Amino acid sequence: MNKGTNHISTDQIQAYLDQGLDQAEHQEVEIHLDQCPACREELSRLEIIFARLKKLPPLELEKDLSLAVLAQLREESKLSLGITWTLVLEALGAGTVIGLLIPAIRAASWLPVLADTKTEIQAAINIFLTQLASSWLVWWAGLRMNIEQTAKSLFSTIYSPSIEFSPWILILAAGGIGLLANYILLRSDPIRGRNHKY
Amino acid sequence: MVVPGEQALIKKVKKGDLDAYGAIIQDYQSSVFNVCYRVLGNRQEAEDLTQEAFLRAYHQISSFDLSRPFGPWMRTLAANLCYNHLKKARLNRVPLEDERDTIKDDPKYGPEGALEIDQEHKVLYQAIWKLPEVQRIALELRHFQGLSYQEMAEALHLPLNTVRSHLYRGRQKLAELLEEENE
Repeated sequence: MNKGTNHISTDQIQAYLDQGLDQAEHQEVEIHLDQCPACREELSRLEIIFARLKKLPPLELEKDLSLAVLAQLREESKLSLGITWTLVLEALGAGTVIGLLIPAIRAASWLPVLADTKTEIQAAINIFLTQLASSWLVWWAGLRMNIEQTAKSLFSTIYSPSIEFSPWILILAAGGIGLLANYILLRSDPIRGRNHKY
Repeated sequence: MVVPGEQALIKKVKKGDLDAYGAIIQDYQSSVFNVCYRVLGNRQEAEDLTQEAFLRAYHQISSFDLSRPFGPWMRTLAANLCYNHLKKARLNRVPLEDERDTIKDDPKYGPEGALEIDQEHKVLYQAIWKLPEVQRIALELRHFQGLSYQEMAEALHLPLNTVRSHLYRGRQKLAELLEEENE
């Protein structure tokens, strides 16, 4: 019941129509409606809305959307396979770049300068870099030896002079792998072929 | 109630059977389109969002509970998608108001006999589309999808009292709009 008036609120009438009141409230509203023409009028006003909404006929769909949806799903499943392989290549490329970058940084001329400095901040950076690098270097040293041995023995059978594998050559090789992976990624563009907007 | 045969079809869809999904789409596309149309008020947009709803449903089918009927789940998903679309459109200042259908031009609402009834439906559609989106979606979920207050709150990720309040205000506003139309 509304405070200060003798009528029940519109919200209560709506809850009554929605069967959203407990039994006691429901009965209370029913008793009030029996006695109050103004609230009955509000009730019938809302009942008309309920009835009109119920009578609203469905609209006819003019085309079959299933073919378009299925075509899109088939396209997506093809793309997702392509993307999976591209991601594998990307991950390999990224791993190679990181693996090659650490020894290259180590070999670069500015690192010893940083190592020799005495300021606290630079020393902290140096410790961090050294710890980061050492973990990679342990892994990389073994791998590089294997790669270099294999590559050198392979190349020495083709060219007589032996080839020096400087870090920069290895970085260029990693860049090449990254570019190749990106090229494949762009070719399997997941946006292409999706004609819906969302 | 679960439609006979539907469970078997959805089990196949869950395993990635697109032909089975095609059968499901054909069964439900009309009702899903109507949800989108009532909420958006534009036939082309409603068709686009219907397609999008079925794409989303396919990607979320693993979370669908097989003991429940597919239709209400699908239509609620579509209604929610349309609601989010309207919210996004409002933020992007897309003038949806101007693009909404004026049903009087639709031949399906043409003369021949039931002109009076058709006019009544046109007026009702136009009034629904004039409601704020959150009130419109509340009316859709309650009156056309038959959701309880609690289910509406879960579908819209809103507190129960907020949803109830939007529903009540929506009905009030709709009644006022229809009364204005009759004057």
